[in-house]
Amino acid sequence: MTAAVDITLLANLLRDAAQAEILPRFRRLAAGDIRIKSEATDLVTEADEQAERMIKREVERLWPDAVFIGEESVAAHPDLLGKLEGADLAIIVDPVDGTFNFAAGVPAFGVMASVVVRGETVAGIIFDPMGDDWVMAEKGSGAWLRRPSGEAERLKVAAPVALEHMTGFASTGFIDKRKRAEVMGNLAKVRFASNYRCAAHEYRTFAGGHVHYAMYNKILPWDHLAGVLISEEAGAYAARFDGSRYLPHHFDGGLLLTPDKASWDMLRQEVFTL
Amino acid sequence: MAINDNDIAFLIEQVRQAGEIEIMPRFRNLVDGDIAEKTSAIDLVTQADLLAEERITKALRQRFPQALIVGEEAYDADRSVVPALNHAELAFVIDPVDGTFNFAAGLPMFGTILAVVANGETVAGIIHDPILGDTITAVAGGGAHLTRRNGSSKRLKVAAPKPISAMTGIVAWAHMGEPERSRIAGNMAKLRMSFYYNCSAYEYWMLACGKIDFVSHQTLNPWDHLAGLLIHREAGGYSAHYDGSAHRPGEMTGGIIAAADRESWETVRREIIGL
Repeated sequence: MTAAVDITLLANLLRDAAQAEILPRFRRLAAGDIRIKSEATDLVTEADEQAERMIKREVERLWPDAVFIGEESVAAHPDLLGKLEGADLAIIVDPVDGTFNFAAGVPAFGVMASVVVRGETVAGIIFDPMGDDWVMAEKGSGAWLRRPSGEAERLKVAAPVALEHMTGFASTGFIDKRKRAEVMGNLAKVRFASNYRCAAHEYRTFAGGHVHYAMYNKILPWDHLAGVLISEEAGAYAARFDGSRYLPHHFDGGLLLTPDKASWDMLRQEVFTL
Repeated sequence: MAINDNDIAFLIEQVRQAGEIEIMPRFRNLVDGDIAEKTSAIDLVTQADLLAEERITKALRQRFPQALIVGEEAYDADRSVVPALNHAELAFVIDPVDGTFNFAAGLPMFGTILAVVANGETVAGIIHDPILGDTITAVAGGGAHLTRRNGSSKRLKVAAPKPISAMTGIVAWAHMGEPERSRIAGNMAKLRMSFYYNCSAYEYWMLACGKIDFVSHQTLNPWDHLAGLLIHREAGGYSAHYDGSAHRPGEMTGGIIAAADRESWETVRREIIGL
């Protein structure tokens, strides 16, 4: 049930924030506008912070009963994340997904939001500021590419293919160092492994049927809830590495998405030997 | 034959127009018949590639009627155009849409690349982002610059050298055969971070802007690499074939590593490429 949140309002809010706070800063950040969080490749910019501030303010006005969980809010108050599991209604936001790209002037970044009702993701939205369109899904209603003109197009994952023909996304950077070399060597078995450092665009591309898998080891909810729901609604099979279903309160255990269960089993056995 | 500032401005303008007129209107707007597979499902050509190359080629022929013009699509029709780059008095090398897989998948990571080659040397390079209209350029001996659509410009500089475990780099191992493929894919775990964008325009963009530390490719299609290698060199970087020799525009084999300096180049060759 998403009656609690009008998904169009939330989608428009992401677009408004991108236009007001994100796009004007792209390729214009001064050195002082970029700060390092946990390490040199984990960044936060003025765009992340100001966009989240704007989205949070509007979410609190429109849905005063919702728990707001944003990437930057959690960075400031880590205990906020614990409120997700028990919440009747939560709205989870990544104001700039792909901050490394954004800060480097590479146009692969996105704005994401998901709606969680009593522990289940019921809606997911990914906005692309460059292309000015959304991919989104509400549980049970399919996944859709929507444009501001009102045009909409249904998304469907790729048809399954043999291992050696698979292309996809593997985010190997957060795998334990000893296992990383093995998994990266295994990747030579597939046709192609890319990594755009931007879950928003990877999910968009996967759900649109352009690649055959997406693998993540670090699974924070603002990076994955929207994309997993959209992918599932586009026909994907998604599970954690142990085969269990991915839920909003899972913060570890990895994540692998494929067009079907057979592809998932094949990749898990041959490539993602974690 | 020398190429002057007016010529460079002309070239940038042609690339910009091709982006506005032939490329951007087709982004996320391709229908099935607009995309064709070349050698495989990840080697694609679209109407945007064909029409942008045609438009730029036509403009170049008018202004430089004697020049050799090498495009990805022109090469498919006549393979002798690439070795001819080592001798032509003046040549232009075009990649109308670098990152065609991304373009066709709706990913906003693609660029238009144009290199100018004179008597076997790359003398100018342009990499253009059609989405925002920004461009990185270099003229041999004149440094590398990022110019925004609004005209503001800044000089580019490669990243400071660092140890292998702190480097971020890109190797196109997916385009290699065995045993290099498995060996290099496994070696990538030594890096701080690696990723792959399927777009050499942005690889060189990030490299020249100092946002990543190295790039390595085994196959050297000149339309993918000539402009970027010059821009990287003019931003202070060092590049050479895997055997240490200098790359010439008409060579498609021998591999390349482009890194911050000679020492970083040697580190990447030993630790990642495994030579």
